[in-house]
Amino acid sequence: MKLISCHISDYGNLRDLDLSFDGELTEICQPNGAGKTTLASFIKAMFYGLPAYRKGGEESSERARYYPFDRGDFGGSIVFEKDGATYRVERHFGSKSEKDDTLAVYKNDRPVGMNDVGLAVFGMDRESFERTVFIDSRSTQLYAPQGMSERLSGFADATEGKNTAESARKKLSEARKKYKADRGNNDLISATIETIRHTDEDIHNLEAEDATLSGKWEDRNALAADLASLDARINAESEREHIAKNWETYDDLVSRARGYEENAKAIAAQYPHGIPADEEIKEIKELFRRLEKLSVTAGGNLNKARYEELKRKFSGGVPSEDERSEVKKECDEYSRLAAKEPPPPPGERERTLTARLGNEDADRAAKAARAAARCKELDMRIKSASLASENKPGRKVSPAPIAIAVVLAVIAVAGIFVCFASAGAGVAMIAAGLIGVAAIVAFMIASGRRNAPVAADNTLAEEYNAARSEVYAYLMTLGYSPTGSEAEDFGAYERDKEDYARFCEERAAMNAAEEERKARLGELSARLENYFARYGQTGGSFTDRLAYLSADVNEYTRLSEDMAHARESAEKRESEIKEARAQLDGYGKKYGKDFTAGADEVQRARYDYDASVRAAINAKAAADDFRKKNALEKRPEGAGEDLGELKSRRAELQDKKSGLEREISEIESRVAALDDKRSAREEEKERLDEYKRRYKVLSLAMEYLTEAENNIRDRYVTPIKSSFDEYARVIRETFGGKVNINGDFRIMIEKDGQLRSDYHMSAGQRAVCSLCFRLAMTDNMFAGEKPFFIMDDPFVDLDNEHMESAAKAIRLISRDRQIVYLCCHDSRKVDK
Amino acid sequence: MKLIHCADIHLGSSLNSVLPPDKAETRKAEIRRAFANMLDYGRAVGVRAVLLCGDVFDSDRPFKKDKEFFYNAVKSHADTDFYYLRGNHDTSASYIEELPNLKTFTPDGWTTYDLGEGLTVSGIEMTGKNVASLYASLSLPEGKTNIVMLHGAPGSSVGKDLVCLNKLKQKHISYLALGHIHKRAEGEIERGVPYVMPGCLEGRGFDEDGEKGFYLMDTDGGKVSYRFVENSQRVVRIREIDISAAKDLFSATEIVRGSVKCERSDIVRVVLTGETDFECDGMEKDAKAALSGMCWYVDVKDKTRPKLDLTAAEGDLSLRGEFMRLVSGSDMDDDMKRAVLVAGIRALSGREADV
Repeated sequence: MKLISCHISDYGNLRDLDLSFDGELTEICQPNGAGKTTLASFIKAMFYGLPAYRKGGEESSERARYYPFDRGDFGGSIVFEKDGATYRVERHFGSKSEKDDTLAVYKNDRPVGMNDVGLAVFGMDRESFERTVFIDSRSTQLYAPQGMSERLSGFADATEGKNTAESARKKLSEARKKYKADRGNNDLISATIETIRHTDEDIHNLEAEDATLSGKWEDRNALAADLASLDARINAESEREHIAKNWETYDDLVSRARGYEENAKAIAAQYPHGIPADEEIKEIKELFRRLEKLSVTAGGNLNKARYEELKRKFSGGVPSEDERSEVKKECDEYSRLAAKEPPPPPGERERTLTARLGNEDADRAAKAARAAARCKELDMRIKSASLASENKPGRKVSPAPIAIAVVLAVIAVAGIFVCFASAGAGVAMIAAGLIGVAAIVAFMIASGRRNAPVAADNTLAEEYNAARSEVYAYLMTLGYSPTGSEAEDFGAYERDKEDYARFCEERAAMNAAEEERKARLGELSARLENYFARYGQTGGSFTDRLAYLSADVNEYTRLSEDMAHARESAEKRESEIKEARAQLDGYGKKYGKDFTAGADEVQRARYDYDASVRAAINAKAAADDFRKKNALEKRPEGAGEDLGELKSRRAELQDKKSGLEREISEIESRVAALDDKRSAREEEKERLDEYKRRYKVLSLAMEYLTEAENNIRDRYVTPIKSSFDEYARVIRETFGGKVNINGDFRIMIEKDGQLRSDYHMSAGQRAVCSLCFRLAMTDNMFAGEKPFFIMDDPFVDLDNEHMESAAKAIRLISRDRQIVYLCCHDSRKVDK
Repeated sequence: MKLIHCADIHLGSSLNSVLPPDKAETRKAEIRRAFANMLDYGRAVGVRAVLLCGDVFDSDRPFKKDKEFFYNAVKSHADTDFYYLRGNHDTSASYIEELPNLKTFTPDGWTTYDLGEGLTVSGIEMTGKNVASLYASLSLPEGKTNIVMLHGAPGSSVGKDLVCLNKLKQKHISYLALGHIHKRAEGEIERGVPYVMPGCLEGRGFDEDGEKGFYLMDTDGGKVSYRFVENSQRVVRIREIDISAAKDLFSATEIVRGSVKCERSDIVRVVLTGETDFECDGMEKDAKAALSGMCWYVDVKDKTRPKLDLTAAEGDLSLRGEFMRLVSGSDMDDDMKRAVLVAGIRALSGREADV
């Protein structure tokens, strides 16, 4: 077939353009952007239309790309010849979709209906047309040696080398392995089969267990029936025993009643004339008591003796209450005085003062006092005199202190001897003497010092000293030690004297009081002793004696009253005794018993008799009630069953039944999963079937794919190979050797007797090779009239050396085939 | 006198093949509850007898816990008599309690109970041994209101689990109470003599769709009136939805959402049909997720087929075209052809080839 001409109304940047095509080679050389590719697209669009596009798909859409900017008449027409007929196709396109497209086809100027022009003319779809008739620079870009055979192969089967049959088979195989592995069991089918196997085992086990349930239920129900029967027997036997027990109870009550009756009869037998009534017994008891009472003498022996004793005691008169009250006061006083503490012994100071001043000579004391006064006076005078005179002659020592010291020493020595007679006096004398001597010595030293600076008048001093000596002489006899100041020392003495006087006064008062207390105590003691002696009470405290006396008085008074009373009713009593005895005799005769000893026995008899009768009645009534209440009609007959054994048997059966029920429950709880297991198995089976189906699908897909590949190869490979060889022969010089292609589309060069692979080819040689291959493939895709080729700058990247080879090839091919060759540069021209 | 006629309760039915475990447990409880609710309803309206026309249990040997549940329900309605025809199940030895208000039947012959007020209830448990002879041995008193209980599908044939209606004509039957088919139905044995199939109380699977419940009968005046009482907690619904118009997964889900009308308590099965030309992986899950808030439980089955333009192979000289022609021209069934084509085309397109 041949293209004749075309008219472009408005297509891309081509507008209102008419073109005629040479029968062999139509070469159009225009710079880039002139519209070469647009022309190629137009030609294709005339045969196959333009696919619609959706919003967002403008970039890859030819309709969008070539839609005229001026929105003109988008389309045109093309005229071609095929099988001797001339066809004209007129097409116009909408902006976006096919609904606005128009198509008119004329055959030999007559309209014909032809919707799919390309398919009708070329026998292939648009994609196949692009792969075969259309050749652009990409068709020859088979530079990479690796994968060339795959690329060629892929080109042959329209998988472009990316997704070849082999890769598709590989994908299918990988997918298939998931379901069934080539080796081993690591796949879904094997795993599912294994799962089903396990599930089957579980089901088998559960079914086996389930099968046992029937028998177990039968056994359990049989046990339940046996238990029901046993329960009935147990109930019957329990009822029988219960009734029998009730009869026993009834019999016991009856027997008890009988016992009581017998008892009453026995008692009654003891009283052939009858048993006295309660009133009579009461009266008998009263009579007996009265007799007893009347028979008792007043006070009894013991009382009378006591009365006599007290009578003797108070033969002199019974102390009145007033008298005893007075005595009580004295007793209390005595007690108070006796409890009083005697005066305390003198304290140490009192003793000391007493020792010092106890035997003081009053005259000497007065003398000493006078001397002390004189000292005081003289001291004042001396002090006045000393003021008038500053220088004093030396002192004069008075002989008086020395004499006194000697006397005191003698006293001390004498005291030693006195110690043998009286230690206290002796010690006092020794102490006084020694102290005195020491005092005088000290005094003398002190007076020497004192006197030294004073004494304008020796006479005063001598008088003073003499007086002082006198004072100290006295003081030291008393045991005072001089301190150097006779005034102070004498003052101390005077204070002591005051204290001593006070002590003496107090002591005297205490002693006086003590004396008085003692005197009073003695007085009271004597009087009280005397008083109590009248009543024979000696010993013990007066207070206790008075209490005993008061008690005796009270007792005596009471006993006296009793005795008086007893004496008064003696006669009356005799009469009453007589009467009571008579009455008792009367009862005795009536009942044939002697009641003089008391009514206790008859009382007991009455009580026991009445109680027995009552008990008998009650027991009878209780027996009747019991019988009525428990509906005791008939006594059970026969021995009955052994209830214990029945219960034991029941317990045994119950245990068995419980055990069986437990077992059944356990089995049922396990077997409950049986339906689930079966359902799971069904699911697993379905899943297995599905896996197998998928495996089959994938296997079939692989098989058919292989068959399709083989078909294509068979259909195309050999012819393509032949055609390729033809084309390769034509351009042999380009390769410098023989080039051929095998069934696997491996290109080999035979050079210098050696066969070399396409790895050794240059990029240009490979480009020519791919062109030849394309041509060879196209030749074999069209059984009838061969179509034209549209080549849109296929050699744009070829170097000049190989361009020449390619150009030569094109020229050769164009002798047999119409070629529309588009290029952008003179160096790419082929028609030179 | 008011009576309840029900059947096919299937206590103890395992629902795990239909529902996930947690929903199955809930549903089992609802089935038990349905039975209890029916009895409570009966008590409220003064029903004195309950006719259980077979398959109270789901198993030939019901579990003790299921039987205990049933017996306890009977015991708790001591003033109501239960007429229990066993049917296909509860035929093997199992837990038994003898209750005074539980009346049973045997396969050894017809058992007739006199309910008073001129009303009788008769029944026989159908077995292979009596399936042909039971019709002849049925003898009912004339002049009484006679209710007959059988477990089988009504028809014109004699056989196990079949009730031959023709052979029950002119037998003085006032009401034929049936069980066995889980879908309710009403009809006549002869003019004026109804037969009723109450169906089950609750749909247990997707083959038990539609309204479920029991029949309330009233025999006052010697005539039997009856009406259906819908009592199920949930309704099973099945929807087939053609999603051929969908362009993608999202639009397919939208079509499904728009097509399903149901209550929130319903159990729904959606079957997707039609042809799709988009990637459908996960469509079941997406559709299920879209519907999950609209009903209690939804199940989605994808029965769609990939859209294949076999005419595209015409004129396709490539390997793909050859492959499509070969498969289309093979003697495989259509579904297999489609599956093989889809797998092959996906593989040739460089996509994962899994089916």
